Amino acid sequence: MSSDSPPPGLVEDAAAELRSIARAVPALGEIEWRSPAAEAYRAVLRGIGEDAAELAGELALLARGQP
Amino acid sequence: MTDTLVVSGGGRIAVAPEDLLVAVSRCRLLAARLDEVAARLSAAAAGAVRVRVSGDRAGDLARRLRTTGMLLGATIDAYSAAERNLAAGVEVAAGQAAYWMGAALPALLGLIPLPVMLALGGWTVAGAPGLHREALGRALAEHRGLLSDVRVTAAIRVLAGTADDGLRGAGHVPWAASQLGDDRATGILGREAAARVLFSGLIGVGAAARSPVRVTAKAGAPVRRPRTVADLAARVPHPADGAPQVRVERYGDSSVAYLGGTQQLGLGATDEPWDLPSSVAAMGGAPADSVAAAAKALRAAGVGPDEPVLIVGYSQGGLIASRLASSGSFAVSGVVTLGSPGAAVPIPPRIPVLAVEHREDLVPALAGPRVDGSWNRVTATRSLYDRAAPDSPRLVPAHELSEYRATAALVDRSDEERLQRVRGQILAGLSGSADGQVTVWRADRTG
Repeated sequence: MSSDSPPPGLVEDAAAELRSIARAVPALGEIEWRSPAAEAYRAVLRGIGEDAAELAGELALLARGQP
Repeated sequence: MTDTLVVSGGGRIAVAPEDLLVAVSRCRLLAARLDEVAARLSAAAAGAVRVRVSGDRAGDLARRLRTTGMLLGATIDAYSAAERNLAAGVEVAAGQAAYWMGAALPALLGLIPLPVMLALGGWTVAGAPGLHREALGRALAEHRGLLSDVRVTAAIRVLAGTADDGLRGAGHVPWAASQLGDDRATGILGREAAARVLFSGLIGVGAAARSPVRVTAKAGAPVRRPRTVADLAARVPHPADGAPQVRVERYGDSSVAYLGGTQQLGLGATDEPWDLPSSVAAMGGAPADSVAAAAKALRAAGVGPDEPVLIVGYSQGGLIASRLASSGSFAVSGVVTLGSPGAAVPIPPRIPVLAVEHREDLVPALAGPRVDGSWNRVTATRSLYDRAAPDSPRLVPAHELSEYRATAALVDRSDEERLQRVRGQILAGLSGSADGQVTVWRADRTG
């Protein structure tokens, strides 16, 4: 990491927070709602959750100094 | 049975299961957390490009999630608006039908042959009242399930809202004046007026009477302040013959009054002020002995006109609570009703109202269509049965106080915004000492 990089702790914390959000977002779809719109809503949430999990993984690698 | 509450009112159009509404607010909360991550990364990135890009990506995720929550909220609102318009259309159509049926009643009666009319009249007048009651009781017992059918309770709600239209038609009130007097306009000839006409009719045929009431304190004891809606529901007096109908708890400068449900279901003048005619009178805003008795018990317990008092009522007790709040005789800080037929009673907007209802309970349906537009009134409705009501010795098992106590516990656990707000407002009114004094009161007619 270069000298103007943020402290690793900050990136680690951000990765942990994103992991927690990635778990919580798809859970918002676990509601009793029978409608075609409900499936689209759940799919969008799954997508956001997966993207958050991916970003968390990249930040974790970055915090460990891996490319 | 479901543990999900459908929340309505509170100044919002949305009428939806609480988990959907909670999902909308959680989308907002999680988006805010993502924004925070994005801000932290961007602020600390300096020359680290990958960190800055990660911050931007977190910001994008926040926007996507926020938009998803907004779309979900908009979907709920659109669905609620469509449902409300449909219900309003049904109510208007049913009201018009009732008006013209009422107007045509004399002509319709004229079609019945005179001997048949005389025979029916004779049977009604000469038949022993007990016989009629017995026949009615048998019919109700045989078709008990119908009384707990949500389609029947929905129909009763619509019909209860058209009684005034029918009466105006029967009274040959001109169409324009009828529309002007309806609850949708001035309300001068609305549902309350119809209930007053019914109460006057009951007095006219000797099925009801007004009388002074006396209240007697039954017991006094120390008590801990209630902390939840379930605590409040647990302290409402259980309706039983001759049992106290009112409980008053005093905590320093504030009080809580608990009012029980109807104790006498029949018609006719008895010593019991918590009877059916009192309920009809209170629905119409006419002087009701039960309302007078509750006010008397509150004053006798020492509740002054300026002392904040939270009133909790079950069934007719909820109706009385609404009337006391509406009257302005007490500084009512909040109202909680459980299965009350008092939803049509106008309560000043400064008083928070939490109404708990069951879909299969026909008693709240007697109030007619809900008025959910006001900011201060939030209604939590629970559906008790997935299919038919279970076998029960009770005529309307969904009206049982024990069921409402269980639903009150669900209200406490709900994260829905409107329920959280009204719960907080109501319980915040209980200031003062944690320890108080309780007295229970029995009211009787003296005339």
